[in-house]
Amino acid sequence: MARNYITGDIVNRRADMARVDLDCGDLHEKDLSPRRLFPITDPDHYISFLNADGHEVAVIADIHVLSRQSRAVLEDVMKEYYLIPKILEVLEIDERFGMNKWTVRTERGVQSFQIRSRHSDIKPFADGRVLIRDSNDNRYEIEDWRTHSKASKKWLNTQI
Amino acid sequence: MRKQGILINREIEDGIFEKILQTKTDLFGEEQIVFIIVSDLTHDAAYGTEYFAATDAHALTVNGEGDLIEKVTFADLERSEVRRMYGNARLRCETRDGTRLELLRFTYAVAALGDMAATYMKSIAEGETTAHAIDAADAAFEKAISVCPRCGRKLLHPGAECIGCQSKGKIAGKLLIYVKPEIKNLIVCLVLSLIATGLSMIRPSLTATLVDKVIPHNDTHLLGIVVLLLFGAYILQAIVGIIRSYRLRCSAVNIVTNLRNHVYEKAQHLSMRFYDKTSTGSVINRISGDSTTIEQFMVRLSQEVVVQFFTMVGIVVIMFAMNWKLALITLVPIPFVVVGSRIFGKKILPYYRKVWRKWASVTSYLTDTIPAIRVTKAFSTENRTGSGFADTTGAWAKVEYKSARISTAFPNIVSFFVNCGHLLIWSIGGAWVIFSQQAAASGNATTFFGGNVTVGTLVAFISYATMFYNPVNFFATFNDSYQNALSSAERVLDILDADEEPDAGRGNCPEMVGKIEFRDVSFSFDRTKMTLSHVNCTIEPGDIVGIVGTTGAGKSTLVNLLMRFYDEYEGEILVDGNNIRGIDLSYYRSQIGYVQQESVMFRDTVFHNLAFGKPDATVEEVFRAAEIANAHEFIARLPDGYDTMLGERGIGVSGGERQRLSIARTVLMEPRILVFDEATASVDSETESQIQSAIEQLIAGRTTLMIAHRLSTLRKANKIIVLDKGKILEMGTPEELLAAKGKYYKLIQIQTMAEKAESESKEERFSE
Repeated sequence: MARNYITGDIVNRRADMARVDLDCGDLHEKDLSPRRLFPITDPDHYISFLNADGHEVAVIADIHVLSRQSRAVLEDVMKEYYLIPKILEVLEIDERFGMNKWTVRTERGVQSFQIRSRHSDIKPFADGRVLIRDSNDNRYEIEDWRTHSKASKKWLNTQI
Repeated sequence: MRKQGILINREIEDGIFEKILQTKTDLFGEEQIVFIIVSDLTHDAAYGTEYFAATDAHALTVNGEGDLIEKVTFADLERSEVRRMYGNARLRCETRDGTRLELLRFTYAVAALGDMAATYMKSIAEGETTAHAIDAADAAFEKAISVCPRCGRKLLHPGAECIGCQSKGKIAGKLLIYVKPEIKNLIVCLVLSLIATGLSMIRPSLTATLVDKVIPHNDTHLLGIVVLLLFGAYILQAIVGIIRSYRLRCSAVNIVTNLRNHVYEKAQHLSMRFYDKTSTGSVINRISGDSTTIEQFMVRLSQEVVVQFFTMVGIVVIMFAMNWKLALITLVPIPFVVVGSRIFGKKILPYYRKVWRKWASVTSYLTDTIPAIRVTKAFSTENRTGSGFADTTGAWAKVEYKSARISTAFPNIVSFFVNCGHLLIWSIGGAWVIFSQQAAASGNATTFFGGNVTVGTLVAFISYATMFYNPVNFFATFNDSYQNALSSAERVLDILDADEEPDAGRGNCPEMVGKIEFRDVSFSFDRTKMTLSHVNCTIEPGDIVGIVGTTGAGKSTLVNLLMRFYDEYEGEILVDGNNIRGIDLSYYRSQIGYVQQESVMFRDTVFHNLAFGKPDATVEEVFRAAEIANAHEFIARLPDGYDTMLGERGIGVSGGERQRLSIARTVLMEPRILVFDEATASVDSETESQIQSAIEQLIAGRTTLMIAHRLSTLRKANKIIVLDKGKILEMGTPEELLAAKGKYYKLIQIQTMAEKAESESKEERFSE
């Protein structure tokens, strides 16, 4: 089946916290959930719109082709849906009984969480990015650990 | 936990708590609050707390300051749910007039309680008794706080001892249990080592005698004695060395074998969750590489540390006895070596971890790609796969270079300091000998430093200093192997300390007839998405149940839970009225025959593969099982018959034959319950009919669950369960469901049309 790519601008509005209505050419759909097809590697490209049954109605290949207003609405809704706090600084890593308790400062405030295994729950990438999964399956991201403060790097060095 | 009789999941400040009670009284009068959920996110997704308090008819949400955000009356509710998003979730509801209310936002740490709150509101809105809803809330809170207060791991049941925190101690202490069985042999080795070291210490003294007494006095008699003594010492040293090395090697092999066996055995009993999150390459690396690193370290620790320590102490005593001033000079480099060693240890450990991670990636790449060599060839991606491997090893090499920069520099720096020590002894000691000789020649009583030093003493001292610096060097670089072993030990303990599959009912082996009940079963693999929600169904003994649904509907998950591959689900699964979590795990699984889509065969003969689950099966039993599975004849046609060696994943026989071998293996177990997970999905129609006939022979009188995409394979089923998005959509006899014209009816129609089209196309091809 051919994928329905939205090439022009769309006029959308927020149906609720995490859904949008789409009006684009012949396409008039309500209550669609936008989902990033590459939420980790390329969050601004390939946004799929799913209807209530989970079927794809349309795809936007690049969020930047949208008008400022449409883009703001879409970004707002996705910000609501996707919560991947960015760790700005590692304040402490307390290693006891085989579990690592991290206390970090994120852009959403200070948070503490536990890591079960530093070998399988921490994924460092070559470009300095680090993805972390805590014992409750919440995700966190360090955009570039190399830019962290000396103290933060000291903690991170014990883990990655 | 409770506060003033109210269930809470986290401590609440008294001020906020009073405010919540006051708001409740203002809004809902004297109703009692049943529970308060403390969230970990605010409505705008910042980390913080908000509170959801529920009575038996209303609920309210207040913010971190205790100010009201939302209120809801259960009687007005159309629906309530937890909306799971990425990394967070919302408790929300919709009233009958269409108003949507966002009640609470939280991370997945609080999601289980959010689910409970949604069910609580819904069940009261639907008129369920309040007492029942409160009991369910109570159970959910108990479960939510049934975690180890020390490590946060989930406990098997409230108050249970945490598996992860049992007998936690120092890493070395934990691993010493593997040394214990070898302790006698190691003590013998140690004594032999001390003898060898003692013998080596005689040499410099004898050399001093040669230089000072034998040569200046031309004493050939004494020369002969000294040479003979030295010769005897060398022979004894060689004999002791040979015996010690052999015994030590045997101990090392035993230690590493025990450790490996234990890690492997433990790996067999780890939960599927561990394997869901850990690559097999990394597990293999731990069993092979890390075990060896630890073994080498343990041997070093139990032998060389003691020997080197005694050598060091012995030499220091001898040197101070010979000349304390020269002995002090010898000690000058020691502080530099000790401080350097500490700095080195801190710097090198992160690198060892990085090196290991990269090496684990290399191993994972190998375990992924080598078994998939057919796919690689089929898609002509040999070059790409090769360069992918080169990239992975390249990344490993890069980290290894960085690690080598530190690890290779350090021993050389230590050697430099040690050589400086030699230089000091030569320069000061040499000057001392010269001045002593000059003073003796001139008859001057005043000597350098006071006292005389002979050439023999200086030569002996140099020899002792060399021997002394060996243990110094050893202890300096010991930190390197200690850090490396520590890094390996952490990873091995990651397996040894990981939660085993819970087996609370060990020893409880009730007779099984085959009645299966799913009671309000909900399950999520990683909390982000509910794979099964509120599944309720009863399967009577002897029922043949077809489980159908689209891909991702939760069919295999349902079977995984029945097989107890995952035990952390909500609700209960009962077999003959017994909760399956309370039945002996090994006995329970032996009562269930499980045939998968991809039947796995081991690298062994056909016979041993069939008898895998029952190694003591007689030849006749195996033949009978093979006959029931329609496998005996094709096995008989194989040149090597039952002795045919199967390769990895059963290479050597066709897909359909492999599946029939898998069924025969199951037949031999004589299980009470049978589970077929897409057993005929990957074979052609003719093979399918052969397998189907094998299955039909096997299922007679046994409770059978069959997952199938091809609905034609379910013709014997007397009950059908239709799953959709983790929920039971339809359930009943095939006739009932066809009459209801729901999802099952639609699936049948689609498949009938597809089969018709296929047969027409075949007829056309034949008629051409």
